[in-house]
Amino acid sequence: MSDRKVNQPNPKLKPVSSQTEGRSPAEASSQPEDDAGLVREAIAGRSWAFDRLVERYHPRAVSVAYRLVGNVHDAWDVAQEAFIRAYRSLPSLQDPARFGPWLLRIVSNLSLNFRRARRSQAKVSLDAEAGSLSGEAGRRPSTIQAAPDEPGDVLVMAETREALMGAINGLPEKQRLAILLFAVEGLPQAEVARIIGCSVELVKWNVFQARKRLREVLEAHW
Amino acid sequence: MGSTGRKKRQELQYLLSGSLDGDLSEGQRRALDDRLASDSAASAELERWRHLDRLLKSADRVVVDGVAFLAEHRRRRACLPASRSRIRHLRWMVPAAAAAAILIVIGLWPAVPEPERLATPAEPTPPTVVVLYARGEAPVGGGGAVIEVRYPRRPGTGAGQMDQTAAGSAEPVVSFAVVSTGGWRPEATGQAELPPI
Repeated sequence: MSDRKVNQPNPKLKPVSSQTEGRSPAEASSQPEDDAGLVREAIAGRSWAFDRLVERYHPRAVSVAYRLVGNVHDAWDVAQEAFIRAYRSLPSLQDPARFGPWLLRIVSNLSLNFRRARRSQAKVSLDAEAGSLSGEAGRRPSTIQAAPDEPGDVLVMAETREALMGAINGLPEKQRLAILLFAVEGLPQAEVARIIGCSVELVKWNVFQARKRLREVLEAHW
Repeated sequence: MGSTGRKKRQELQYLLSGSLDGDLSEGQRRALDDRLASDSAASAELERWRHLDRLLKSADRVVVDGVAFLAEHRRRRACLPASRSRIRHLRWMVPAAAAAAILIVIGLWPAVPEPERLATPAEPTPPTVVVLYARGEAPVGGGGAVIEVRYPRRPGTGAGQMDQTAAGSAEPVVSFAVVSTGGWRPEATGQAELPPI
């Protein structure tokens, strides 16, 4: 029963418009559903296969980018750029089954580069920034869904969360990446290790150091 | 807090962090349980770490319009130049085109006539003129003599009429024009030394 569910994915989970686009009925019925198969099809020039990978990974890609760059508009752009780079570099992917971690590594690197570039940029006037954001909001339909508040003072919780995010932004790069991917995004430690390009032990250490730092910063809010 | 106190606190925090992730060994888990049972401050610390973890897990979520995202991705992908992977599938066309060109050249070569294949025509060899005395008259001083014109490297001969003599010439030379050559050469001109009569 459970196998059948795996082999017959629920069509409601995917936008119908893109499920069969560019594919013959025979292709659509025999399409691979695992990452490795989709990567191989995409390398062979079947663009629908890469569309499936985009559908599968864009929520995670935008979310990770959002954690690292701090706003949803830039996160959208970073994620788009990451998919384009992944598409162009697809033949160089040695293990097609690891498309996800490989993509998220691209997202992470692009996000960190974006942050560095933004930090070194000349100061932008508040008016210009506000104008650009309002103008671009229409073509980047992403929204932030507020976290459900625990019972208690809503304002205090919101304040604490804001302080937490500020503290995360102040963490060293490796610690920030580790805590965001592991504790916030909920990725397994092994996958975080592949994304960051380090050992699982180092991921654990970075998560621990980040938690310790955050706990100290949030002392005032407890 | 002394260095020993700091070290103990650090150890506790490392165990607390590990316990949140389920990473502790059996021995570590037992040591932590013992510490928590006997140290109320350690229990309070555990509660704070759990609270921090809940805060991290409950961070705001980004909701992305998947259809719009995919549409934008397709638009950007369409702007890319042809990728190497797609060109790779056309690699066989280059040698195939070269082979086809070679076959065409080889196939057409015998069909091209040899003389016309050369761009520079050969220097024409003047015809050999044999003057025949068909009417029994001397050729000097008048037309009407029948001549035979033989062209080198051509089969057959042509015939024409001598129409002019080289008057006053020390040598018996006749100028002639061939006006009819049996169909394969419309006309020819030349000079020939008259044979002795």
